[in-house]
Amino acid sequence: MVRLEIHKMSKINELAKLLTEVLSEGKDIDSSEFPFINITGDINGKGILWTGQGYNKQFIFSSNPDRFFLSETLDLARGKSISINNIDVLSEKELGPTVTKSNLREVGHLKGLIVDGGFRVNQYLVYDANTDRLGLGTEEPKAALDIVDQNIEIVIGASDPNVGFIGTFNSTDLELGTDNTARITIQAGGNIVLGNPSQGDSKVTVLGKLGVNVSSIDPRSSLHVNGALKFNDKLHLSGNSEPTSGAFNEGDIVWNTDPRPGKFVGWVCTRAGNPGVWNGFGRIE
Amino acid sequence: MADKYITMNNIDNILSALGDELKGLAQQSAPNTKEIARKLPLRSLTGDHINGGTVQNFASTGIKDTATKPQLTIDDFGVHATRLTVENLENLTVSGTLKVKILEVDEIKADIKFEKDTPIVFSGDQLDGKGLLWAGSGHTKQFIFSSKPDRFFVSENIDFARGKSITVNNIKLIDENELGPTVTKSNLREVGQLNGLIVNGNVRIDQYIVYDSTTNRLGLGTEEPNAALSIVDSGVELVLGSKDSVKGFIGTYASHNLEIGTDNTARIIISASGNISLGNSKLAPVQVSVHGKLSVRVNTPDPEVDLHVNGAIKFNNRLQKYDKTYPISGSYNEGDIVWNITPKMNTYVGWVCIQTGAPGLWGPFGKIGNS
Repeated sequence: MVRLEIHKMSKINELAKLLTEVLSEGKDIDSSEFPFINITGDINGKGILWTGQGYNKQFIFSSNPDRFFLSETLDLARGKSISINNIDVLSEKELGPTVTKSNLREVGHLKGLIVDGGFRVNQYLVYDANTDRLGLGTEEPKAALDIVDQNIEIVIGASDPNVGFIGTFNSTDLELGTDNTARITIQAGGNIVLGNPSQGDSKVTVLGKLGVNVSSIDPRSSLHVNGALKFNDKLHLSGNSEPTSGAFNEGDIVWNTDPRPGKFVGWVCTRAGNPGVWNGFGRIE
Repeated sequence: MADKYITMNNIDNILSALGDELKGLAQQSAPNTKEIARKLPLRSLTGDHINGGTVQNFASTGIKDTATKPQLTIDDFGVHATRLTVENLENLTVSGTLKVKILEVDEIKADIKFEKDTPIVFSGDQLDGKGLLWAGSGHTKQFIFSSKPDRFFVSENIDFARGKSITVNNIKLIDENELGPTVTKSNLREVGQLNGLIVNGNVRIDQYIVYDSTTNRLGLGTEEPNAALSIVDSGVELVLGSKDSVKGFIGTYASHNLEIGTDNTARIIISASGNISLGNSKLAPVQVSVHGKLSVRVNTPDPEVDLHVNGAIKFNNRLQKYDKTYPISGSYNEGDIVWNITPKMNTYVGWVCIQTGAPGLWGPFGKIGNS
């Protein structure tokens, strides 16, 4: 119930009209509480109408579901906000802190971004929160970082807890390069090419000892080759006699693995053949 | 009759006289009512002499009855009037319904419950500013219609009950916990800790991480990544991706060295021009193992050998190469060996430099004989 006092009014035609005028023209209303207006009966569609200027402007109750319907945009005064249960949900500058869910597809320039959970960009960049893996061009990254480019999958991560790994995941070559040019190629089958056949000679320097097909490099040698070697297209191998089979070229040498005084230090192929003609050289004094 | 008018004071005398008169009249042929009345003293009748009947043209000091039909009835329930005109009513309490055609008041005080079964209508050509006002406590609170553009203007916060929401066209716009699904555009510059994030389109983070959705390339430190992943650090661009559909590529994009390392230390260094160092000159010598065959400048490695070198070799800083004879030009060191490329019986298997020079002094060694 509202206490309504109307002062110094000389002419009032009828009570309803009076009250309508009170509401519409703002006669003095001295109220200690908010006035309320009971709208009774079928309340659907009942409320406040503004008529006479274009279509009817409405602020009415509407049912199914129960709600207030406004025909116009709602404009709040500067600094005012919309709250639910007295908790701000929307103001001129911000959404309320309890509004945590959205389907926003555009945001402005964010000052920062913290994501708990998955992260997907354009169905291309995928961070899988379960595996803690980042994929570029793949939804199922096979390593901490997995890049799929033109169907080549490059993975970077750890192959076990003590070993880092950089390489291709599938049976494809990997090039390591500088100046956007391949310098080292690790082929799918494991062969390694140092240098690039399509480029000039690369100088490959071993700052240490190089072992070829040896499990333990002799510390006295800088180059330790397990088997035969060939240079200037001539073969150097070891044996306790000249070869009796196999194809050899003139100049190929077999070093004597059983040298004795009066014996030769090795044998040299003096005519190509199978095995060709071999002669001893360097008789040991 | 002493008095001309009948009053309550002389009514007994009047009635007594009237009785005598009636008695006399009864003995006469016909009573003369006028004579009887004349003989009654004025103001001599009392009300007790009257019961029933109708008094016409009645008047008293305070009452004048000129009605031709009943207008006022008084019984034990009160006063009933058909039509009442009152010049001045001091106090009136109405316990029932008061219906008034025209009510003119100087002041009205009421506790009003205003019930309507029709909408409240503001009508006319000037709707602007019309609506509900709450005045008297600070500034006037408003819920009004405002035009250009048409809108409702609200001067205060709007508070909805718990669980209620704001909808547009019956589609949820916002509630306590979420924005509606149709709200897809914003200019938010701060968001909370997201549970997940799906982006269609470009991503730029702090002008450092740039994902270009057109090229599907990710750049760290570059806005124009030159590969699927491009990392620019201290001016060096490291690219990871593929140049064709059969090879992956990891390396520098411009003319910069590439180090590949372990323990945060370079172990393999590829120079910008392509030279490769296995091991690091600033560190202790390392062991490089070739688990397989090693060939140097050979297009078709000999499968029978582990090391196949196209040209000369050098070990212990001594050169070894093949030729038809000892050198006649070039600089050589003592101990350098030239192997005889056409060895024959009774010739020598090679020549050894016995004095450094250009070409220095050379002597044959390893005379070839019969096995």
